[in-house]
Amino acid sequence: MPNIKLQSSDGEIFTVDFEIAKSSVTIKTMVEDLGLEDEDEEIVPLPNVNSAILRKVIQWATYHKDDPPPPEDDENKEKRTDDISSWDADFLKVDQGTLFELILAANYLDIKGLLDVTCKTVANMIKGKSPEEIRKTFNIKNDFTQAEEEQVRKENEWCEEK
Amino acid sequence: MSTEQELPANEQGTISKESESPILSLSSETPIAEEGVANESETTLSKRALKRKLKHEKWLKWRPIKRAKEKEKMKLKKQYAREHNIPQGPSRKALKMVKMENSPNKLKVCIDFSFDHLMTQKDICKCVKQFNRCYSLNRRAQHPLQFYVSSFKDKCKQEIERYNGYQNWDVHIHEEPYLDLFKKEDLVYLTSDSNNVIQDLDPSKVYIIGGLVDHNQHKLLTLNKAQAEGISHGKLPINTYLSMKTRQVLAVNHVFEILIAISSEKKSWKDALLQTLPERKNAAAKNDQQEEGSNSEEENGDLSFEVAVFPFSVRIYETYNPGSVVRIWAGDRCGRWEVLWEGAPQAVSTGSRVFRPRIKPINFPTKLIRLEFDQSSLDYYTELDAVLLVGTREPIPPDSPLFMSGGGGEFNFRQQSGGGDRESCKLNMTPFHNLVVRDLDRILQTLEIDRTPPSPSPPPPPPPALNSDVTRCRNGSFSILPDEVVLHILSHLDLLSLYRVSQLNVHLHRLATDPTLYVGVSLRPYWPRVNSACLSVLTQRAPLLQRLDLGWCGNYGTVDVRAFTRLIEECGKLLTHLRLDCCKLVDNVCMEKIAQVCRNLKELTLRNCSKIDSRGFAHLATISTLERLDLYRTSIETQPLVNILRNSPRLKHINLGSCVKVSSMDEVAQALGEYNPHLISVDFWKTYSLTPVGVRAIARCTKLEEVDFGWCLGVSIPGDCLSLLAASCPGLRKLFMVALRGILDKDLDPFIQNCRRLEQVDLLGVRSISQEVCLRFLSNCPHLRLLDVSFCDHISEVDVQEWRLRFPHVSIKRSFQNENYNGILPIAY
Repeated sequence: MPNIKLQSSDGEIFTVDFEIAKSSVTIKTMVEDLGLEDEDEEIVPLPNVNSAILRKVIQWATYHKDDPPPPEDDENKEKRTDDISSWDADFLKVDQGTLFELILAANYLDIKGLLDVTCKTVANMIKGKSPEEIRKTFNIKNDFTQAEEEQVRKENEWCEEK
Repeated sequence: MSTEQELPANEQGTISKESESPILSLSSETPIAEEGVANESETTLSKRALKRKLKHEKWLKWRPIKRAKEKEKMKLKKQYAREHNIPQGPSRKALKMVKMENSPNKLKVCIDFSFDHLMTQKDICKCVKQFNRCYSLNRRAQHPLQFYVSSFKDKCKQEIERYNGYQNWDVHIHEEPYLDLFKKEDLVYLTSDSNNVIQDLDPSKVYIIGGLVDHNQHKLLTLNKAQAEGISHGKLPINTYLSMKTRQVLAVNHVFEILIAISSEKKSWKDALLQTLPERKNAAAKNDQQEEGSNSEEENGDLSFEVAVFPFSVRIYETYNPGSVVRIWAGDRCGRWEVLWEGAPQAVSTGSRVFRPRIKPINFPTKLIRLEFDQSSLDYYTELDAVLLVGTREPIPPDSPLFMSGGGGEFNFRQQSGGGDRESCKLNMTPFHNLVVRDLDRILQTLEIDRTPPSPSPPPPPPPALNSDVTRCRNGSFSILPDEVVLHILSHLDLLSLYRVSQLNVHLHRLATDPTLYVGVSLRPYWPRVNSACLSVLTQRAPLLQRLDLGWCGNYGTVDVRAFTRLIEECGKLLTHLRLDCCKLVDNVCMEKIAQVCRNLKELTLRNCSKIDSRGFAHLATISTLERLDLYRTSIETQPLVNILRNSPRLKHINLGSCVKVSSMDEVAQALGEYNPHLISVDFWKTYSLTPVGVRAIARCTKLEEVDFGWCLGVSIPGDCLSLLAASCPGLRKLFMVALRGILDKDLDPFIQNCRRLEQVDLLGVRSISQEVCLRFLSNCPHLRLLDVSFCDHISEVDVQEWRLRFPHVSIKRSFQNENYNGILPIAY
């Protein structure tokens, strides 16, 4: 079974090399559990991913098909966010909505490599910014009451520039 | 007839034929001069004397062959050097150019030969030899000092007549006493009996060395002479820098060599003394804490200065493997710190440099500078000699040209690096005094000239563009993500960003304070901000804490001990790794709390935690889970340490470097051998009480992969203990022997035979080893990646160059030494 057909939420069908599609643990499990290995015509529906995002995901998975499996998270290691490859960095030069939908898709499809690199990209967008700048960047609303606000300010007093 | 009388004639004959150098003939005469039994006939010779004579005759026979061999070898070496463009040090011709009168080194030193009448002929002969040695040292010095000899007549003169051409030597020889040659008030008699310790050599003075070889018969002779003549006197600062077990009376040439090292090579007192003092004097550098003394008050990296200034320039004099400074901080001693400069570690060629980054202005005066290092990009240790802080008493406007002059490249200078001090800071301002003063002059000069307008500051970064695609929810873009995914994003944040996210709104506050995000916490990068309040907040957030690094935090009273103990009490139960390096707040109370709460602790590092004493360390013996323990430069004593070891059966790594309060490191080593069979690495750096007994005990830890015996001078004459160690620890990967001068080839061969996995071998200052043994290391240890042969007397630059070609996978270290004149040019005087 060299190819598999994936159907996006908006009905588009993508024919993908099964080896590439297998980088998604969700698809891999689904195919194995449903015994689809021998059937060419069966279509796997992916109701949570639209065609634009699925196209991106397949593009990413195709480029990374020969990657070694990502290492297990090592608790003892400081997590790095500066190790994004230049191809990935270019690939992720997309608007914020797409980036967040890619994260959602990577999470749903269970593609660890893609989830890591997209989350790191968002983490890099947060790093080095003041709370107000972060709110602006991601359009986050401040809903603290005055009392809460005061308490939170106290908690963070030590880490702000004096 | 074969009496001893015949020998001199024979010998003279051979010498005149083959030897040109006066030094050679000198050494070959030694046996006769010392035997002093020239008239005894064969019949009265004792068995031993007979043996000696036979040996001597045998030697006479072999000498010409040996000399020829040596000459041949020398020739080959020179040829090789010529072919490979390897510097061979100064030629005879070049030496001729270096005269005292041209030398910028104006230090005057005079040997006083007025003690003829107190010496036997034999001692006079020795004394003249020492003079001869001084002369050759001065001729070969880069900047010879101004060398005088006074009261040089009678017996001494007769003795020196035996060396041809001494009249042509570049030295001022006078028959008059020094009182007739110099002004009385300029004279300083160097005598170890004096109470005046010399700190700086003053080129306007004349330093007198007593030309006397008396085997200490004549007590206080030179001191009394100086006092009788009413001239000042002083002694070398041996006690300040070294601990010596013997008397501090030195031979003429040793004193001379120290003076040259300081005045010509601009060495520190410590380096000059260590390099010069003969091994039998058992000289050892005093431990860092003492030696850093007034300059580095708190710990490595913190430098205190006399006067607080608004700084405009910081210069770091890096002597060895520069480029690892990543941040320069200024502190106000009340917990406030500002970055003066930061940048990535720089790949600079090996060598020395003065690093002078352009610094940011700060709005408070400082006399406390902290340096942060990142040595990860270097393959070897950094060494600094001095740090210069330049500033004004009044605040300077940020656009002042002063800041401009602080930057702008760097220039190199040649500076011989000293012994094997591996800690990043070694601060002896004295030897650099001249250099620094010159540098300061230059800064001030540039200020006069260089009034270039400051470059315009870069435009502020454009405000982040608002995304058009935002959702209308209070979580903005994050609202489409499930909590677990947001947590995944947050898990990639540094602590500071995480705290900032917790300020955004209620939902994100809940997520950003999730205990799973606080399993491993390092406050070390934020040490300038960490205070008691910070630890209190952490205490609320980190009930799952497993790894905590508080390195450098809380010094100068910014963290209360109670805030620390509360954190441990609330969050310490699951702790496996706790790093408290350079945490001055950590005291006995903290130790007690840690021992009480942290029952799962595997790693505990307490480097430089100087507040803990034996009572504090006693608590650690109740933790039985330790695998890694770092006690570098703590004041732990023998008994508490042995107790800890006894109760740590899983111990794999231990650092006992510079634990000077351990009175018997042998006892500790025996405990390690007995109770810690899983030991993989052990560091004994600068523990003087370790002896071969301890090394033998350590050999029971057969899983050892790393051992550091650097500066363990008690192991300097190892006997068979090292071969035992090598035989029982075949898995050794790293071996450090820095400054063990007594180690010979035969002590190292067992490692070559048994330890095939060796990766790093540090033989810095292991003086007597041969090229052959190094070659055996290189050829027989396939995993070898680093070999340090700095200050090994028999290893020349030529050898090292050749090996580097043959073994390109090994980084072979040899620091700048005298003969390497093609290196970096010295600063122009």
